[in-house]
Amino acid sequence: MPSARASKYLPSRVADQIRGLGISARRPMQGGIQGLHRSPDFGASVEFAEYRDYVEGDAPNLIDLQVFAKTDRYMIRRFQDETSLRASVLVDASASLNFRQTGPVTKFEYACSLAAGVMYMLVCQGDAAALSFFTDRVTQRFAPVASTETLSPILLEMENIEAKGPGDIEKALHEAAEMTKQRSLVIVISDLLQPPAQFARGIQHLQHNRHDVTVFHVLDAAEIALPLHGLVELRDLESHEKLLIEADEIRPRYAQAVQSYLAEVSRLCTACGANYFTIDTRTPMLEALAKRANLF
Amino acid sequence: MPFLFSNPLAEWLLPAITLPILFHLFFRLRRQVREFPSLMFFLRIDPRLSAKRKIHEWLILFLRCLFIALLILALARPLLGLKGSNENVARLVLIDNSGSMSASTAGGVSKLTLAQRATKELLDASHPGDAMAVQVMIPDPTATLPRGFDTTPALLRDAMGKLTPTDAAASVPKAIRAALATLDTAKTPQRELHIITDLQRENWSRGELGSDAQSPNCRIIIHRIESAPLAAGSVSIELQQIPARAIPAGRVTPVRVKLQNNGPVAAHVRLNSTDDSGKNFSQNFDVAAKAAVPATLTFSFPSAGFHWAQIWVEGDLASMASHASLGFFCTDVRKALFVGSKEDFGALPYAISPGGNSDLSGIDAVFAGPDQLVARLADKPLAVILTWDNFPQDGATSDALQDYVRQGGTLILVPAPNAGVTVSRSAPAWLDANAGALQTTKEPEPLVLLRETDPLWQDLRGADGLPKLGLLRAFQYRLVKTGDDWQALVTSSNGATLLARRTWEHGQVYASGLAFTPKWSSFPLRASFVVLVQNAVFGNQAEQIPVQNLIAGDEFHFDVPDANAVLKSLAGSALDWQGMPHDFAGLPRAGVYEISQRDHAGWVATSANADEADPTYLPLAPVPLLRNLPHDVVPLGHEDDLTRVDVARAGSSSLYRWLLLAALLVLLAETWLANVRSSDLGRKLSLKPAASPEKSAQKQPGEVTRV
Repeated sequence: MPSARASKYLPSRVADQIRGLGISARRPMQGGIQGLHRSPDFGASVEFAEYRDYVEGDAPNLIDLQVFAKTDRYMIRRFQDETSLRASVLVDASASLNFRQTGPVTKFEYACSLAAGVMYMLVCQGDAAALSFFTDRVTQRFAPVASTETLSPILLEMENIEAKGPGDIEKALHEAAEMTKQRSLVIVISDLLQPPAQFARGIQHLQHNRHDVTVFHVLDAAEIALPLHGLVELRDLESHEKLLIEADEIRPRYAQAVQSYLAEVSRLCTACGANYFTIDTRTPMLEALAKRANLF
Repeated sequence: MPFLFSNPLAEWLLPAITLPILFHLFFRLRRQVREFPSLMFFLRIDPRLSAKRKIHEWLILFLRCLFIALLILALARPLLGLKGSNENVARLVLIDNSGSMSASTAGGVSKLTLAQRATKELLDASHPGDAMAVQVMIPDPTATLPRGFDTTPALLRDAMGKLTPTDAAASVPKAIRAALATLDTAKTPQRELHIITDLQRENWSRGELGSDAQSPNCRIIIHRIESAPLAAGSVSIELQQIPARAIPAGRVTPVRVKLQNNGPVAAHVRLNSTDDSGKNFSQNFDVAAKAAVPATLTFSFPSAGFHWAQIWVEGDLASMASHASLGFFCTDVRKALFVGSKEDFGALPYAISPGGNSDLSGIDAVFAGPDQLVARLADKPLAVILTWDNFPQDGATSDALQDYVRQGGTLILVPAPNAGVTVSRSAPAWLDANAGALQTTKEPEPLVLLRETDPLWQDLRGADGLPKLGLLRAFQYRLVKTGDDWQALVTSSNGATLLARRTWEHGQVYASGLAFTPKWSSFPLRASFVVLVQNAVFGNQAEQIPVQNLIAGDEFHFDVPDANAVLKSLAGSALDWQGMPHDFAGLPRAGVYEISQRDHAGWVATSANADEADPTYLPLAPVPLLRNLPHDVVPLGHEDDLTRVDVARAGSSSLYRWLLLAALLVLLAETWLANVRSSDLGRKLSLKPAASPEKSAQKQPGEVTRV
């Protein structure tokens, strides 16, 4: 993948490291071609599924002769179908992702790198991956790609995308759920800066549409620990509101509020059946991807 | 209560109070501006936190401003309690006029001058209706200070301006008692005692002021004048020995003095003396720092009657305690009566009257037979010298001799050099002494001198204090047998008494077993023999003479206490006083004074008190002597600093220490507040119990999965 190696978000070193990783879905997937993932349909794999009676119209060569010899009945042996996976990677591109304090890159750059890594893993294992950016709506979509050759242009195009504008995760997830018709692996990469109950409804919508949802919660460590001192005027990256705080004074209560928020997010995601991961922007990419890789 | 700042320059620092506010605003402007992904979490936090924080900050800011304000106020040394115009006060100023006050301050003026100026400021600060009084620590007959309180400061001012330093040491307890007694006579309830002094340690450590010395509603303020440190030699004179008896005219009289250098460096001084006959003498001395040098001056006066001399030091830094006056009372040439012929007494007549006349010793050696003894005793000879063999046997002569001794005469009994083995006459019983048989030694027998402190050995002692007459030997002697009242002075090596003395009422008797010829002993061969004999004859017994040699300021008594007295100065400090003895203040200065009362005449010579030259002073702190009396000690600066502030300080109490204490408390409070979080502060102030750690842990949400 010569062009992919040159990508900002997927350096060749990282690409080489994650090539051996695989990614799977919890739910059966509906792919277009034969693949590695379990399908809801019956097919021609080696994995036995069930027996059923022969009915007219079935090909006679499907009759299991050994069963017929023992039971004198016409039975047909059915096998589990294995299909490729179609994934949809949703990356939050709201302005709050532009924050960086303790990590080496902004949250948005980290999210893009994470998305590139996931897509590369999927493509490498023969699955198809689509990419979408959203703020308060889906702002940009890239068609599914199933090869590294077709992935490279997307990676290059990602470098031109900026995080800006206010975000509304719930609304964007609703929209994405409506747009994704086929049962897919949906990977949401966001900082989830919205009341948990709101974006949980978006995830529920995705789950309701039988998608397998994974949420990567990208945070800078400064958002958790608030390593500021003295009198600080904070400016909201999205709403541009200002707030004067005494950092040392407010830190304990802030940390408590953040922990409470993270716990709520985790609880709701789990309740929705989604896989939830909190990722610090200081976490190496390989380590972050390995958490999700081969989970099932 | 009005305020007055004794250090008004500190008021220039008042704008510094705003420094914490400026710093606060500055740092508020210098706040960091940070972009943050969302304010969602901050808005979830209790909004009351901000109010608590503000209260906390403003409280700290207030305490910081208060701390600086208190510090500046303390530096300004505010005075509280300066009397108001409607409160009258009885104010007594007690001026230290001791000898040490004649020394200069760092400003160059004398301390007494500074005290006078301070007193003038106190007088100027008085209001109509105030009662004012000025007293001096050492009574001074030349001072014309009105007694008791006077409401007209002009009189006090004039009298106080005429004060001059004395040569005496102050009796501080006595002076303070007198001042408090005067204050007790005041009609106003508010009273102030201002003591202006240099707090010389010698004066302020002497005596005791008991708990009886109290004065209600009286504030005592000691204005301590800072003394300039000594930079050169400062030599004082201390008289060591002054003859307290009449001196024969023409007799050379030594006067021993000690020159004490109190300065930090060596002093090169000239010791001068002069007397009433115009004889002058000078001698240079080098006195090392903090060391003393002995000196001896000799005086002789050609005629009988009163004579005086003055001694002073030139070339030192301080004039106090560097001059002394001496009074001498001279008689005509005295006689030493030898009963017998000249050959009976060996070298004794020559030792008593060297040269055969009275020119050197003032004593004439006369000889008379035993039958003339009673008649000659009427002339009151200085001494009577008898041989054991010539002792009068008749009772009348013996009784006359006994009376002579009792009334102050000196009787010397010696063996006759050429007498027989045994003494031909026995001594009377009242003498309680006898001479034994003549004993001749085969080998010269060493003599032992006893009682090294005895006046007989005066001027014969070495540096170790022991008599130094060389190796004395006896070749023959008579043993002297004495009673218990006798004191042996010379013994043989085997302990036999050879010379003894008995003091009998006012007189004395010497009993010798040695005749003073070279055949009997080596005594007459020594040059010191003359001194020894002069000591024995002239002695050092005090005599009733009309002359008193005193230290300035000492109490002295008039011969006739109830008769009008006239005092005139003959030398030294000028004084012309007339009045009743009980009105006389004393003699606080060195000088020679003649006292006339009816037909009585007397003389007093006073010397400066050497203690006044001691350059050590008590610090600016409560004085131990006044431990029973609440008092304040305040500094009195040099001339340029002397303003009404110094005066005001006297009538007020300094808030300096209280302000410093308050500033310290505020600083502690500020430190505590600054180290307590505002949230904790709220909890502490509301006294709500803090949540237990277990409950807090229960409330904490579970940790989330975090990579």
